[in-house]
Amino acid sequence: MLKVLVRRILVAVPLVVVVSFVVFMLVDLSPGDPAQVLAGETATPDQVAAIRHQLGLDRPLFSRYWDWLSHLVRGDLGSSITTGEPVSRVLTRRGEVTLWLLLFSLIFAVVIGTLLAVWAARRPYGLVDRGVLVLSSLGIALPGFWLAVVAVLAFAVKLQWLPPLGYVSFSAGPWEWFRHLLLPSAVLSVVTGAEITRQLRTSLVDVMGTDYILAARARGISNSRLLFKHAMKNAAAPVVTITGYRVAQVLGASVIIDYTFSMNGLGQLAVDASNQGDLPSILGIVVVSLVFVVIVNALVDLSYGYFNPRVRV
Amino acid sequence: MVCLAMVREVYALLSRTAELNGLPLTPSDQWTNNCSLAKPTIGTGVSTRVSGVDNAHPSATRPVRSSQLLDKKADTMRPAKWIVPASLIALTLVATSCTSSSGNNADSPSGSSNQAAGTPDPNATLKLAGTSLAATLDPYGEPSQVWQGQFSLYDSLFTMDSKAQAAPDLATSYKYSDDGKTLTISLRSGVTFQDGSPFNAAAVKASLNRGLTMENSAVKNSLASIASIDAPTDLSVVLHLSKSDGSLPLALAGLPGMIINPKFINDEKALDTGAPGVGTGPYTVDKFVPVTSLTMTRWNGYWDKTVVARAPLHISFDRVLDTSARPNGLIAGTYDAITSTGARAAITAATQSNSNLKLYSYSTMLVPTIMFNTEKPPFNNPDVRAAVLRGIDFASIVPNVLVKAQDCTPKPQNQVFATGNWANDPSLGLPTYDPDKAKSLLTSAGYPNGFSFKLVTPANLGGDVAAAAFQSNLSKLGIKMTITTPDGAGSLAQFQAGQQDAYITTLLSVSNDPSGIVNDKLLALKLIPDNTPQGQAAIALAARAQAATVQSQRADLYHQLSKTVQDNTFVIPYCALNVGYGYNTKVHGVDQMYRTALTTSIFDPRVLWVSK
Repeated sequence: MLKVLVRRILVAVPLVVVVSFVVFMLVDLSPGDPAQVLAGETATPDQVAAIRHQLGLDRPLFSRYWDWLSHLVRGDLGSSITTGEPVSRVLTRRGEVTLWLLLFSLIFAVVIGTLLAVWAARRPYGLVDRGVLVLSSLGIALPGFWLAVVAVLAFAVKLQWLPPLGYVSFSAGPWEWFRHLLLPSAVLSVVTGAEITRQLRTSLVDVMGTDYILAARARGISNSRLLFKHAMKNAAAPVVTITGYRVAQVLGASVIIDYTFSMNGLGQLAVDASNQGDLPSILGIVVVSLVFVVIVNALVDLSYGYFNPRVRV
Repeated sequence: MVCLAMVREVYALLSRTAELNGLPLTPSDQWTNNCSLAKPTIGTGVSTRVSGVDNAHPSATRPVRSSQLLDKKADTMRPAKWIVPASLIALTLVATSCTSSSGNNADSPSGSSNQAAGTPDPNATLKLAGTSLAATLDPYGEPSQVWQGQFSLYDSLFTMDSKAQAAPDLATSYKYSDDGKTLTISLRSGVTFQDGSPFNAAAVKASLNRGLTMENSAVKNSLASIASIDAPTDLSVVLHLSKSDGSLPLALAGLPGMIINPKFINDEKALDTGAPGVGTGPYTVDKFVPVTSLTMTRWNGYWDKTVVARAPLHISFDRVLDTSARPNGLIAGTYDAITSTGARAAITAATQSNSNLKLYSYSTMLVPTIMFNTEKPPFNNPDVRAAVLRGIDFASIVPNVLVKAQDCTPKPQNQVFATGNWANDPSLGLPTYDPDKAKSLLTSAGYPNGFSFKLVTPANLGGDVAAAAFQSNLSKLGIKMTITTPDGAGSLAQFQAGQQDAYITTLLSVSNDPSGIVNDKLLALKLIPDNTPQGQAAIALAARAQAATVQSQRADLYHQLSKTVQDNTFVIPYCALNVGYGYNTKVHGVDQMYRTALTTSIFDPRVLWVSK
């Protein structure tokens, strides 16, 4: 298992090099000048040129990329062009927000998606099943940004149950921390939860129709026990797959959530850094996201062995 | 029944979605905007109690040296792009309910001045939100207009009053020598820095010298005329100038005049983070996350005891870009006051349904302007520039489009100095829309069938909307305008590199003095050509205006400069920007923030207080 994980991470190394170089090139080619941004609108061309030189932006692209890569190998992601802060520190601060957001949204999606799927699968094509089907279809179809706005208006502005925006750290108080994460995480979990519901419900219905379930039923095992003990494990593999690949998508969707809920996570950082041509920050986000997604995918692959022993062979 | 109630609730929410995103512009919005013009001015700015436009103004949305590095797109970055489609979807779904909602509020005034009586709460926490926060708290290190922290930690030698003129602050008076080459400033006694170090002439000298010599100093241009500084006594400073320069008092009323504790002069890290003791201001920093958030605590040793007596104990500031999130935060009580950048309509809607919320607007000195590359055809020809001026119907576009899209005041203006500013010449008229005259000007310039040109303007700051409206007008004259709207600071870079023929942005400067706009924009960007007699005359006039040290002379010379710029159409200013603040009625002093609000959209912590 560890071998697989290490192999996957090693495979990510060339991926990081290729992707980071492509990003480096794209940022370099894109319009906008970080030196101009730093200098401000009132700066003279000479001042802008001085800042450009100071930042090393007047050096050849390959030279700058090699510098960045050699620092990366030593664990140094450089400093933000716009704030001067070490990128690793910024990523740690912003990453905390995004990580909790991601974790909570996945927990919500898996728990609610599983419960709805099981509820629907108990009576396939019944009223509940059809209701869940409609609900999950809506969950997939509704645009996340719209849902976010409506959720804020309903639960924060109108009912004032939850804060409409912002993030407070755990150290500021667990309850406030949880309250601030609840709404954005719930919104972010909707699509994933809906997909899990549909996928798991279908899998469960299929598994529940198999011979071994029929035999178990004939032995008088209750429906609930059949579902949770005998059918769930076989039906869970697709859920794990969905959860795994949704990690990357949720990471992307968190940009919108960051904006709407003013969370100041990685998504907001990515937008800001892109607008300002803050290359070290952009590359830091790319590398961290890439490694994170690779690790998650490796863990998902490893989990197949648990759900389906044949895979281990 | 439950279902019915839920449906009703959803409908109500959808209506709010549309309202908060500024889709319905109620008659009351229009009324209050017009009404505001009739009100007595507060100096540069015309005070407006409420308005109903939806947009960001560039200083706010520029990205901070980061964000700004945008509002401006910092103070702006800007409204999230998905909000527009979100609003459209919501509005489409509930068009009927939205309409009725607007209609119901049409006659209700939606704001009032925040001068209601109240007792200051000395233990209050004032929670603020805006669209930008600096990357550094160093007063000389941040070129973008995102100085929320600086105005809390530092005092300037002078401040700016309601008439946009220099007033005493750390300095009590100033006097120019007869030749204007020596400026003697008397300093306030009894002032200390937050660590107890004395504020004195030596501190002023050290601080200004840093502004002059520091690498990448954002204030160097504003202090450029200072040749040397003497500190003959503890409480007086003598600035020896390389040339007569009447702009210094107003320039020293902003960041260039903020005085740093000499102990920290060479400690960049302390200045970046606002370490305790760096300034003489009323607040010290508890926590500063660059570009993101700032929390501060009142310093009870502050020299102005009236400020100490009423100022809230804590102030927090969050950068919130989303134009719905900020008003939502205000409505839900997460924030006590917010800037209205891009969210004016949402705040207006909120004030109409909640009497505890208000909107206050300042008409600022910030002027959105069309700038030309006057060094090459076609805009090196004054007739072509004049044709563009005559070919655009500003009287229609500004009130009907740009009030909402760019936070413009409803009345167009055509001077580089905004209405109300002492440098503005109220006797100058507005050029009228005259397509026939424009045609004849084009013919005399050798372009009877029009021409094509490229214009650049930052994305999402409203200049793109303005450009599109102008484009429509100009196309009738055969003038084809291609618009480019890069993100970030790409616009200026493209214009400066000569890749674009024209540029729409806001005239702004680190200096509060009119010379700041002249030097940093009109001259630095070569908008006034130095190779024509008219341009040379204007440049000479600008130099004389800056050199003059008597206020009446300065005003007269800037009036002449305004006329020269207008007569030669070196640039085409088209309105002044409104800066607005949404706040709850416990917050006081929002209408007194001349020091900050006339040139930026940041809060002035010295005048804000919270009632019990």
